[in-house]
Amino acid sequence: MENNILEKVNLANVLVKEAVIIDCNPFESKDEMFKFMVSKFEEAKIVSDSKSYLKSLYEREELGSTYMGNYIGLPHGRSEGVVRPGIGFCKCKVPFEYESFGEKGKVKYVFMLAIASYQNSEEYMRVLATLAGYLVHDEFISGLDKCRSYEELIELIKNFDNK
Amino acid sequence: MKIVAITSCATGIAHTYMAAEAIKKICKKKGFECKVEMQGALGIENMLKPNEIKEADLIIFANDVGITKEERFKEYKDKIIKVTPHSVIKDPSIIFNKKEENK
Repeated sequence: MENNILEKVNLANVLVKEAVIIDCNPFESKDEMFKFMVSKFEEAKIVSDSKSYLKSLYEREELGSTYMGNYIGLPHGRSEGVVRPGIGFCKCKVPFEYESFGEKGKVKYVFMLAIASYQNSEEYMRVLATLAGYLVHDEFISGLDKCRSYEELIELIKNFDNK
Repeated sequence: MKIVAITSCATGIAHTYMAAEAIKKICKKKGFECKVEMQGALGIENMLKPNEIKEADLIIFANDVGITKEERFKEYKDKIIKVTPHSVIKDPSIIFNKKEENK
């Protein structure tokens, strides 16, 4: 079956302000980062049941690596504990060791996706695919490195959304 | 030079799309014509047509799971370069280095 839905989604609309953390102290591990980001989602009322969402992140980790190279981690989970879908972002002051599906790498930038179980899979995959496409571009990564605030991150993403 | 590629990965999303973007990026940089078919969790997107496969100078398979409808390529085995999605994301230029090795 051929699928021709190539239009991109607007990532700027799903970025959660309360879960955009710039200049974060490096984490001891991926586990610590998961807990931290999930708590931010909870504060932002993106997640109502943090246990269930955290479980979905680990379940995804069992399927394949979410370490994407280039200092990027891209964890995501789909759960009933997600009230409203969203993307969180975290930039660490220095890279930390990220282990995923038997793979190890240094990560400085994390994009975490909270996917609601009521969403159809196509919708969230489109978000993930769009974001994955951006992450390949050096200009996007250097933009992440430069950005100092949620507003600057939104600007960067908008520039790519409109490309 | 005309290049076609197929990307596909185990979980069907992030690596598939990143590998596709990486291949398009390097081809654009080098001024090569390029079309990438993505076989992901959303099904087949941007499917390669028989004439595109025939006319391509290079066929890139960037996959770590089986390719759907692989029979389309059986006549063109000598044009196929095999890489993993991961390696091509890390360094897209390997698709050209591999070609050199094969010669």
